[in-house]
Amino acid sequence: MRILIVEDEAGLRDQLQSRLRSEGYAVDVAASGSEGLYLGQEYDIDLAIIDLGLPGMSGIEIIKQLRASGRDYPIMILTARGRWQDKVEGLEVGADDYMVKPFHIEELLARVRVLIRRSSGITQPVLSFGPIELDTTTQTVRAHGQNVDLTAFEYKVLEYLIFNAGKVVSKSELTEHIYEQDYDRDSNVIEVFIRRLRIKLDPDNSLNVIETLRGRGYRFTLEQTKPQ
Amino acid sequence: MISINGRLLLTASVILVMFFGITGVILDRIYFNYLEQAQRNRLLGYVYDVLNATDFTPYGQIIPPKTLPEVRFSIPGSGLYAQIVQNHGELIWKSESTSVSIPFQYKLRRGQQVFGSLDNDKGQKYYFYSFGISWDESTPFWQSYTFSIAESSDILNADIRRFRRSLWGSLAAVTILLLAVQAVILRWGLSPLRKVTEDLKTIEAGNKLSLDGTYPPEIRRLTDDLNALLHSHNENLKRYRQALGDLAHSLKTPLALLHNTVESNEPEQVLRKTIAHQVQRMSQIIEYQLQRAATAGRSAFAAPIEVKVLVDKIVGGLGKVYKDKGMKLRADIAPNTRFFGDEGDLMEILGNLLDNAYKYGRTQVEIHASNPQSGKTRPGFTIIVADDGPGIAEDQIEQALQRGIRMDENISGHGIGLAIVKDITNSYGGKLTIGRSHLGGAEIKIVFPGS
Repeated sequence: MRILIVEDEAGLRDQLQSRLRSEGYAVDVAASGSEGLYLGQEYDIDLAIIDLGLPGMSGIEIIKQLRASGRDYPIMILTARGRWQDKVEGLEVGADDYMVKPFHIEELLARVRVLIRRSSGITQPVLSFGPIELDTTTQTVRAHGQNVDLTAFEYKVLEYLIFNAGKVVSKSELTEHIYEQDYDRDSNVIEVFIRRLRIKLDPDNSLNVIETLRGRGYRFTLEQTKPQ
Repeated sequence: MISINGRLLLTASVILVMFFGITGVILDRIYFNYLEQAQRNRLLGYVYDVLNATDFTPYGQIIPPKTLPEVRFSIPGSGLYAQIVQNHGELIWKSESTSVSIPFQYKLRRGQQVFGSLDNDKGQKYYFYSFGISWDESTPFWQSYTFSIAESSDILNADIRRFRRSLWGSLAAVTILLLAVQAVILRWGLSPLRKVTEDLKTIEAGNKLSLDGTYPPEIRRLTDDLNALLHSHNENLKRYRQALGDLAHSLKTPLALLHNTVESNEPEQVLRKTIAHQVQRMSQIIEYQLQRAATAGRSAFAAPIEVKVLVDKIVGGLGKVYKDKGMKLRADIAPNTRFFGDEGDLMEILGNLLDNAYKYGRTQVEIHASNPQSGKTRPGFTIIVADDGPGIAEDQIEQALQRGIRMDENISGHGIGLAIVKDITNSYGGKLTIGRSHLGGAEIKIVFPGS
């Protein structure tokens, strides 16, 4: 999952970036409104975190322009002003949630997870696919009732495939959403992640959880079941 | 920009000058016509005099006058001249005074009279009167004559000059007098405005707090509004100062605690906990005091705000934020419900109350808003927000309202929303009560009095 942060305060920006990265997100950052708008329009973003009080182009203006140009990924606004007038204005122009500074980063992470899940059309925080269970709140995966130990990157790859369950996800799409803009995109790495996921989720390969479609990409094959 | 005094003075002066100017011209014309008429009558009188002194022979021969009652006919160059001309063109007689040639008219028919003015070859102006005469046309010797009198216009001119001098002189004097009186009246009439300006200067200088003089009814509304504005301005200033003071003071306690913690030998975990706790407290304090400073409060000029529009906006936003909960909202807002106050304040009240309801409610939120006492200039305003959450226990109500205010106590937990709402409500002289809703959860009711 790829997140764009538009924040002019370097300290907060760096903190958010490193924290989100450690959670396995690909994070692009912009320090100004115009840069943020450019990245938000040019890259395949899954969620944007936009500060309202930016120098030059305001956060409200960015959101307006992003929405006007058809970008419909969730947007979380950060504001130092706790007044409802600011919050409501942000939500009105197209933001989906807000955080008032100062905030707990854990709360921000929780809301980011909810927004991303919601934008994938999934309403439950816990998703079950037969023996495999994905908890988007705690970011954990269980197979046959056992916790599967995944790295943050592996989790993000699996989550992306599950959020797009049944659809074919190309390798480049996957790279696009997992890696940041300047990252060296070696598609072999994706293959390695997929192989490791298969082994961890389904050691005896009886379920064929992730299917490879030659030349087209990957597909998460399991059907969603009601959680127990 | 010309001052009001200047404008009034200018218009009144223009009107005054025009009035007296036109009056003067009319009087001048009337008097001149009168003088001309008098001249004509005088000349006709002379014609009769000359006619009287003239005799005729039984054969119709004319015997010119020897002496005339008017002395000026005998003094050469006196300015009064007479002549008799036979209608064939032969000059029969001219007065002794005639020293200049005057192009008199002749060949007038019997009884024909002509009055007018003429210039002789030396450019002198004369008034003349000519009279056509003939005797006994039945005799074969009858003749026709033209009697003419001319008088220099100097007399009439001197008369009109004298008249004009005194006319324009007195008109100018009256005009100046009236202008002066008018300036005085204007000064007096506008003096209340000048007084307001003076009083404002005093206020600017900091020597007064309000316009405390008595003013005429036309501007009393203005001065009253100005006073209300000044009052709210002063209140705001007071509140800012107070908020700033409160902020600084209330931050001292957590700072002191942090200070002591840093110097203590507590284990790391305890340190972390204390720091986290105090930082949380400090951010609550800051949020609360900021909100307090931003509250506009009751004002005499607040335009009415359409409540439904704001509720829709906020509900639209909250619907997004709490999308997962799928809350059912019942908004019962009487048509045309309005709030007389600051839009930001109402937004704050509605935002905080509805946010709490969405946050703590399970499935339902209700909002009622209406304007009771609608007969008053500013009707009252009532809002009720209810949810079906756990509600607020009786013994926690006080605490919920005190968050952010009572800094000497360690208060844990999120949200200072209710305390902020209570504060704003107070600034409008309203009353906030917390109870249990018919849905089972909390019910917050706010009543603003009308005025």
